[in-house]
Formats: sequence, C-alpha cells, structure tokens
Amino acid sequence: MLAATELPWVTLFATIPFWPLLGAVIVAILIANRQSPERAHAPVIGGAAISAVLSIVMFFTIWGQAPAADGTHAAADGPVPAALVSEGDHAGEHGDAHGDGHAVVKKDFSKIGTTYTLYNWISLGDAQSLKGAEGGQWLAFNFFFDGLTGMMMLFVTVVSTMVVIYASGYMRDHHMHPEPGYERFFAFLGMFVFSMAMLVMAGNFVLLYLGWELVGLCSYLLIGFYYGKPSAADAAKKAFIVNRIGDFGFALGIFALYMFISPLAQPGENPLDYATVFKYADHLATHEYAGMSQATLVSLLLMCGAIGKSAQFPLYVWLPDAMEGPTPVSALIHAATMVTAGIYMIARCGPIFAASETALMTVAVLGVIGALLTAMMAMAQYDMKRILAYSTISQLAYMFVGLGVGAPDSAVFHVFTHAWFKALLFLCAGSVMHSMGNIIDLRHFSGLRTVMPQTRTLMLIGCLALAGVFPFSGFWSKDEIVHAAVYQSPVLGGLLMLVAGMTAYYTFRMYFLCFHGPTRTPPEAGEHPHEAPPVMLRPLYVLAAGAVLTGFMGVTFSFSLSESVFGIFNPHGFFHDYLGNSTMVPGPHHAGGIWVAYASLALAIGGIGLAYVRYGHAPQEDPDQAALGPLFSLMHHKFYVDEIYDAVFVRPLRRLGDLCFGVDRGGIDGLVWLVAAVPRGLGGLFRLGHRGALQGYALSMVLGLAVIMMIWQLAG
Amino acid sequence: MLAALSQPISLTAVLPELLLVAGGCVAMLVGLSNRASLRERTPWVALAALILGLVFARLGTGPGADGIIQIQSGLAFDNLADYVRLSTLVLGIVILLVAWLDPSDDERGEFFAMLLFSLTGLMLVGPAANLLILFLAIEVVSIPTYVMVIISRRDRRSIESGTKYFYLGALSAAMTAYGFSFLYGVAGSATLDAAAIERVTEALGSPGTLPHALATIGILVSITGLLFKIAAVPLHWYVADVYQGASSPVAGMLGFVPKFAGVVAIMKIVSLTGWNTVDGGLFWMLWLAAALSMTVGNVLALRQNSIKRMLAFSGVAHAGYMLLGIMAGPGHDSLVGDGTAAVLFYVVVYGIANLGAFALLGLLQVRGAPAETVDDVTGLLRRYPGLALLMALSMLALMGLPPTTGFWGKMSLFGSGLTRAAQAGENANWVIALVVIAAVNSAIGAAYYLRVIAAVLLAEKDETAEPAPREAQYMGAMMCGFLTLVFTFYPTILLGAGFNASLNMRDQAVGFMASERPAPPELADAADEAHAEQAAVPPF
Repeated sequence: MLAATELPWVTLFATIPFWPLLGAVIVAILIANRQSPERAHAPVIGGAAISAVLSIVMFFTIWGQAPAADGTHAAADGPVPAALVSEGDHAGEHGDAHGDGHAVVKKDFSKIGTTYTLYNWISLGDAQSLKGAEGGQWLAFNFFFDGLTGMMMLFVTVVSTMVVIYASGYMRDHHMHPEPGYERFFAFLGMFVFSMAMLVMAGNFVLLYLGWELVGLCSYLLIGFYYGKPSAADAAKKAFIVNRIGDFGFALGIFALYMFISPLAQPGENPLDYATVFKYADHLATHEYAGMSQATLVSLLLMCGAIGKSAQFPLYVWLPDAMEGPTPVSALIHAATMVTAGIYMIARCGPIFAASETALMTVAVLGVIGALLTAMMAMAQYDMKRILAYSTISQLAYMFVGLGVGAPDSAVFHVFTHAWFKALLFLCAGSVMHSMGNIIDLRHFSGLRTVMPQTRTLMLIGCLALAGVFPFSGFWSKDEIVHAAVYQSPVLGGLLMLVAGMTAYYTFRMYFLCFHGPTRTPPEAGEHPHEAPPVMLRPLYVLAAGAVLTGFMGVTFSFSLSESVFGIFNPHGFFHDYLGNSTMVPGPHHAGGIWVAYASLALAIGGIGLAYVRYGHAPQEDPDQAALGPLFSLMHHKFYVDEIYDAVFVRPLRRLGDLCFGVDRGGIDGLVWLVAAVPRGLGGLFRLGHRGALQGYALSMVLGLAVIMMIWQLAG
Repeated sequence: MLAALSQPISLTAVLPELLLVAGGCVAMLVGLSNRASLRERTPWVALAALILGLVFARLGTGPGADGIIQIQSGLAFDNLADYVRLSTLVLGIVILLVAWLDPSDDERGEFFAMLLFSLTGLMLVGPAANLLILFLAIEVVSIPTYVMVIISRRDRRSIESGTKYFYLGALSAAMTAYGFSFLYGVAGSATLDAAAIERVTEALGSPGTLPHALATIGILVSITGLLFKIAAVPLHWYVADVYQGASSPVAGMLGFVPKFAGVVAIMKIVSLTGWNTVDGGLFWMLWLAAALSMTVGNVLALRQNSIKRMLAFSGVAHAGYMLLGIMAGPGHDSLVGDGTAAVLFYVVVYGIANLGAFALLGLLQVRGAPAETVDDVTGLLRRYPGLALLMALSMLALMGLPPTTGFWGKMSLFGSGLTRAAQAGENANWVIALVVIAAVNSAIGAAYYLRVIAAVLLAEKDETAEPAPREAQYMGAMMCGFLTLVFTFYPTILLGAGFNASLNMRDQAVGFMASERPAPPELADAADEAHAEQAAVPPF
C-alpha cells in the first residue's frame, strides 16, 4: 500500500478551523464596542463559508491523492464494477470475516494519513524536546488528514454554513428585527464551528479532548441561550453534567493510552498522536492490564465518552431536553454535528476497538437497546422537536450498532447522510415553529400544507430520507448497517429492521399530524401565518439536495440482480473506497443477500402506510393512545427513565450533598476560618515588625544572620 | 588574586556592556543639555544603546564555541552569561519603555544613565567567575538602583525609602563581602573554578576542622548577604517601604534586576559546594529562608490594601519559590528535574509579569495620582478592557494559573524539588515538606491575586482610573503581556535556554551526584550532546 504522507496545500487546510473563530472574534469585538447587532451574522457566515469551501477542496484533494485502499477494495480512482462483482462471489466468506474482527486488522496504521504539526505545544519532559532538538516527544498542536477527516469536515462545515445562514433569518421576530442576544448567538455559533473542526481535525488525543470539551461548552452556552427561561437553564446544566459523566471515562481512557503507549514510543514519536497510538495498537491487543486486554480497557473507557457525547443509552437523557435551545442549534449541534462526535471518535479509534471483541460487542448491544427504546418513546410524543430528538438518538444508536458489528465505514456513511436530512428536518420544524408563534405541540395545529407549501415539500423529503425510502439517502446508509448487523447476528439485524419500521411510522405520524387534515393554527400564530422567509428557505433546499443525493455517494452501478438494488444500484461504493485509506478498519462488503435492502424498504413503506391509515387525516384524538392505553402513556412518559434517574442518582446524591454541606458548614468552615485567621493574625503580628524604622530593620537583618549561624551550629 | 584579573581580555567580548556604559555617559550629557528638546531625547539614547547592545550580543561569536569555557580576567562567557545578557537586554528595553516618562525633566540624564549602569552590572553578574568581579558586579547593579528610587519621585517618601534602601543595602553588601573573604581564604584564590570547588568541598567534607568552619561561615554569610538582593527572609524588611516609595516603573524594575543578580550570584556561591545542598548548614539555611520567605511574604501580602505593597511582599514569596529551586540544584536531564533551569526560567517570567503589573499601575491615574490601591483599579474592564485584561494576565501569571508562565515555572520548580528529594537521604522528608509548603503557599497567594483580578474584571464602579497618555509606557505594558503570552504557549523556548544555561552548573554538580547516585549512562550521553550543541542552540 502506498503511504499517504504528504498532502498538497496542507498548510491551507490547517487554517480551516480558524476562519469561523475569526468570525466569532469579530462579533465579540462588535459586542465589546456596542455595535448594532443587525449585521452580526455576517462575519460568522463568512468564516463558516470559507471553511466550507476549503473543506470541499480538501475533500477532493484527499480523494485525488488517496492510493488504493486495502486489499478488499478496488482502485480508488473510480469504481470498478468487475472487482466488486468478484467480491460478491465470496459473500459467504465475508459473513465469516465479520465474526472475527481481527481478520480485518491488517493495515499498517503508521503509514496512514498526514499529520501536520502547527507547533510543538507542550514538551513531555525529555531532553531532546527541551533542547528543541529533533526527535523530542511533545504534545503537539497538530492536525491529522485522512479520508475520515475529509468526509467529516465536508458535511460539518457545509451543514454548519447552511444552518448559520438559516439562523440569520430565524433569530428575528416577525418584523425581522434581531432578537435580543442575536450577536451573542452568532459568536457562539462561530465558536462552535471552530471547536467542531478542531475536534475532527485534531491529530492527537489531547487536542481531540480539547475540541470535545469546547463543543460541549458551546452546546451548554447555546442550549441555555434563553437563560432567563428556567427550563432552558436546567436543560443546559443537565446536558453539561451528563456529558461530564461520559467525559470522565474518556479522560481516563486517554490517561490509560498514555500510560500504555509512552513506554513504547520511540524518540520523535509523540505518544498521544494518532499515528503513534495506532502504530502500536497491536501491542495493546496482546498485553493485559487489570485482568483485561489493554485494548479492551482503553476502548471501554473511550466508549464512555462517546456514550455521553452521542447520547447513547444510558446517558441519552440530556438530548431531548437540549431542544430548549433555539432550533438552529438543535439542528446543527444536537442532530447533525456535535452528537456524531462519539461515532467519529470510535471510528477514528478503529484500530483499538477492532482489537477488542468485548468493546465491539458492548457498543453493539448498547446501540440496539438505545435504538429500540428511543424509537418507542418517539412514537408517543407530541412535541415535533422532541420526536426528532428521539429519532436522532435512535439513529445515533444505529450508528453505534454499525460500529459494533465491525462496519464503521457504514456507520460514518450514516453519520454523513443523517447530518443532511436531520438538519433539514429540524430546520423545517423550526420553520413551522417560527410560523406558529413558537408553538410546536402537534395537538395545536394541523393541515399546514396550504399554509407552508414549501416547508411541507422539504419536510416530506426529510421524512422520506429518515424513514429510509428508496432512493433517499437514509435508505442507503441505513441499509448498510442493517446488512452488516444481519451478517453479524440475525437477532441484531431483526431488531434493527423492527426499528426501521418504527422509524418510518413515527416520522410520518409527525408529518401527517402537522401537514394533513383540516387547517388549524394556534392563536399565537396570529391572523395570517405565513411561509418562512427566503433566507430561511434557501439553505433548506441545499440540505434537501443533500438528503436526496448523498446516498448515492455510497452506491456504484452494476448489473447484477443478486447483489444490487433493482439490479442497478450496488451499495458499498465510492464512500468506502474513500474511507478505506483512513485509520478506521473498514468492514467488508456485504454484497449478496440484497434481500435485506428489500425487506427494510418494505418495512419502511409499511410503516408509512400504517401511519397514513391511522394519522392521515390528522385526528384530534390520538388513535394510538386509545389503542395502546397504558403502554402509550408509559412511552409518552419516556418509560419514566428521567424519574428513575432522579430517584436513584439525583436525590441520593443531593442528600449526600446536603450532608456534606452540613459537615462543611459546621466543621470545615470553622477550620477554614481558622486557617484564614492564622495567616491574618500572623500578618498582623509580622506587620508590627514593618513599622518603617531603619534601625529596626537593620537590627532584624543582623539578628537573622545570627539565627542562621545558630542553625548551622545546631545542625552540625 | 590580582594576577587572575590582569589576564588580557578581548574588548569585543564585553562590547554590549561597554555600549551600555557609553550610552549611559551620553545619556547623562544629553540630559544636562540646555535645550529642552534635546533633553527629551534622553530615553532614545538609552534605547539606542540597548538595541545596539542586543545586536552586538547576537553578532558576537557565541560563547565557548569549542565547548571549553575559558576564564579571562574573572569573566567566563558561558551559556549562563549569554542567558543573563540576553534576558537583561530584552527586559531592559521593556523597563526603559515603562519608565520612559517617569523621571522629571531635570533628572532624565541621571535616571537613564543609572538604569543603563544597573543593567550593565546585571550583565556582568552572568559571566563573573571571580569573587571580586562578582561583588563589584552586584554593587554596580545595586548602587544605581538606590539613586533611581530617590529620583523617581521627588517627595519625602521616596527620599526616605531610598535612604533606607541604601543603608540596608550597604549592610548586606558588608555581609556579602565578609563572607567572600572567608571563601577566598578557604579556596586560596578568588577564581570560581574547578580548583576552588574542589578545595571548598574538601573543607566542607571534613567536619570539626578549621577549614570546615571557615567554609561554612563563608558560604552562609555571603548567601545571607545576597538574600537582600532577592528580598528573601530574613533580609526582606526594606521591600514594601522601598517599593511604595519608588515610582511604579522603578518598583517593577526592582522586581527583576536585583533579583536576577541575586539569584545568579547565589547559584555561583552554591556551586562552590558542588551543589551539596541537602545536608548541613546550607540545607537548613536554604530550607528556612525558602519556607519563611514564602510564608511571610504571602501572609503579609494578604493584608495589604496597596497593590504596590502587596506585590512587594508577594515578591518575597516568589524569592522563596526560587530558593526552593536553588536548593534542588541542577539535577536531571529533563524538564522537571533541573532546579537551576527552573529558577532561571522563573526569575525571568516573574520579572516580566511583575513588571507588567507595575507598568499598568504606573499608567493608571486616579485624580492625577498613580493608582495604588485595589479600589483604584476596580471596574477597569468596563472602561478600558485592554488594560484590564493585561492586568488580569499579569496577575494570573504571578498566581501561576495553568497554563500561564507562572504555572510552568512553579511546575518545574516544585518538580525539581521532588526530584531532589529522591537524593536527599535522611533529609528527603524535609525537602518534600518544603515542596508542600510551597504548594500551600501558592494557594494562599492565589487569594490576593484573585482579589485584584475580581476587582478589575467583575466589580463595577462609577469612577475608574484613567490611563495617562503615555504611549511608551503603554507599549512596555503590552510587551510584558506579549512576552507572557509567548512564554505561556512556548515555555520551552525559555526553559530550554535556562536548561542550556545551567550546563556548567550541572557539570559542577556531577562530582557530588556521582558519589550519591551514579548517573545513568544515557544521562552522561545527553550531557555530552548538550556540550556539543551548546553553541548550536541559541537561547532565544
């Protein structure tokens, strides 16, 4: 395999994260100078757009430069159907290859991607780095470029740009005057895009952690954007604290990595750089620590971080509440980009995860639990944004399963397509909400197809993509994960198919309740509710185009009935070749058994049909509520998970906190007071000596000398 | 003794120092001119001298290009000399900018001449390899500062504090000279070379004999005298009165120039013992001086309302941290093991941050008078966010908040202390205790720095201080902030330079360390490499 060590224009690409930051800084300066907020969106849109353009260029540069992927793939410069067909002949073998994750770990990870060091940040204390000489070990400020980076950056920056443009229309009232805090909002958004780009482009684990925490901070600030609203402030706190739990594990994972890798790293290899860590991944797999292989330990700890950030069972509870933030934030941060960071991280750490069966299995099992649970919750909600939030969790869980069954490239493909259609759906929901006077409860309006025809069309595209209907993007990516799962374990695959049907059902339940039936609008919407302004609609068209077309990135054409959808579209195409040369361990082709695609398509269409029968006329009374009774109520109350957490964790902890507070008040404060009083008292005493008399000072100095001489005498 | 000084020395070797002296003379003449416009140019003369000095310091051949350090006329131009010279010149420019408009019209000449002379003295402390030269260099540092304190503010307080400073300084100089005379007696020569180290260590290694007593007294008394320069307990008494009496720029300068001179001089004296700092009288003296300096300095700073007095006392605490590093001594070939490198780093970054704080204090005016109390700077952020952030940055660096310079400095100081504890034998626990005391003191210190930061950034006040229209001073403050930021993000530039600078001291310590704990072969290799690269790696 050729080594991708040099990337053209890499210096230019290394500036990508900093443009949005520059925009945010400009907005901050505007704020400091108390300028009018009217134009505050411009610098951030500009910065994000420059990043987006550069990312697109980077995407193609990496593509043009990528050598052939590993042995199972065809040449990178264009799909070669013949090769794929011949792969199909060995479909049975691939099924086996799945069972054994190690079979795929045969890449030389030290030669993958380009690490570009901006500067050496922190010396790790060895002599070479202290002298600034070659061969020192550093915590470097470096970026890592490979197919995964290119793919992630492409959608992160483009979707961000679209959302920022949309927000410049959304964050205004009916008279198009900026809301209070408009400029603050854009400063945070710019900061977020910077942080996310840092997270994705980071070339080592510490920088990854930095980006990880920065996006968490931005998410906190933006969820609590309406900080005057107690629910928003609480939601922001909840998101931050729940994420902390996961990040604790993540940090421990990085510590563990450092502990294991630093003794192995040669001079000149920075122990926490991806390039170094993945080079020694084999060593992690074969050595034990605390009763398990080092790879398992590290993977499980890193996974904790992913569970928090990507809202997986059991730490998903923060995401639905995060919808308290402005809708563009929900679309960008809590659906399209930030929440996928966990998936990205696990995909990035493919060499470590692939070396641990236990970790992969845990990931898959947690994923399938989360997917089922949250899909059921989504079926019984009325708040459009909450339905979308639960569907996000469910889709993220899908990706988790994809990672767990050894198909990280399929998981990343789903991340990619999901970003477009989920951002589209959220922004459409936001546009409905904007028009309905901030009412988002589906029981308060219906029949909006006449009021908002464009939004309705766009929403329909998003819903079809989410439901996984051919040929929308969701179909292709979801199918690949189901495919991989079926070959790993039929039970897993069956459950995922069930979730696919449920997804189609609840998505279209929402769609019909909103746009079908008689036209009803809430009083808050005013006399004449109207379609969203063009500034909000235009980005939606771009996203809609993404929702329709991006699926084809994973498709090649081949004429074979047994392994192509409708005999033409063969899954596992360009996308996999593009990612094949990244650090992740690509899953094998799942060609053959194309029945899986047909089955999940049938389930999706069945789900939509069922939804149409039950909700097609947007009934006032919820038919499911009547039919399911207590089960519906259980689902509506999210299985009381929040209440259980409250009773099991929050309240005991609070009681412990009260206890500690009491001890602190009564006992420790007294001690602290004493500690503070002693220096103060001493200070008063010492000050007696500082009365300013020259003779006194001189005498004290000589006495001091005398004391020193006495000490010498005593010390011998 | 005089024979050692009469060896020929190339004038180009001391060209930067000569330039500074010449610049001082010209400044004095220009300052006496009849024409006001010419008198106003005086600081430009000083600036030109400093910049020329910097240029020639860089252009001149590097010290010991062949790795062999020769002592000529009591001066040894090694990496340490280079480090001291360069940081003095760079900081000198900053000090000059900060003090640009400080002296009154009729005293400009003297003021800037004194500044240049004092800096010259500091630049000579670095290469001084002879007790006489060392003593002279320290006095060249000190005597101009007495004058500067007095003429910086023509009022009773400054005259009183300058006078105090002078008398107490004379007393400490007497102690130092007395101690040096003992050392001369023991070593048999005034040259600070390997032979002197051998004789002093031999004397210290034979308790109960007269040479042992003489050597100990010599070491202890001379270091005690030098404690005055770094304002450490028990010779710290002058510090608050003098800082308060002097103008802010001069006070900022006092936090760097004499401290740097004192630290380097103490290291040179401690070198005579072969860095055997962990037992006997020297250990207890350094231990007590460090522990008391930190504690007394911080405790007194807690009670101050005047920021100048607070910074003065906090300077005592910082001297204590530096003494901890000196006690740790040159150790391992790594970031956290070398106390001398840590001290050299710390004294510079402390000087920068301290100077930045004083520069801002001098810049801010409250009803025509320079700002002094915490109340004076309250609510600065609303009106002058730039100044407020600079002030906060200086305070954070002094406090040692990660990842500022102060943090890197304290981390390496404390780390070197812990490393040394491993070789301290029966006193290991005491060394660890000192590091713990230092850590606790850092926390105490945070209290008063945070008070200033909170006042500047968070509190609001109707009437805030106004910056005086002094561009140069503003620029000086900005440079302090800039340097602090640079060394925050690239600490290894300076730390690495300090590490190179302490090369000779590491060699001097090798004999002692080898007897305690044989150096692993790779360390020896690294030391050889360091020798080879000594000339190749510029300290800046």
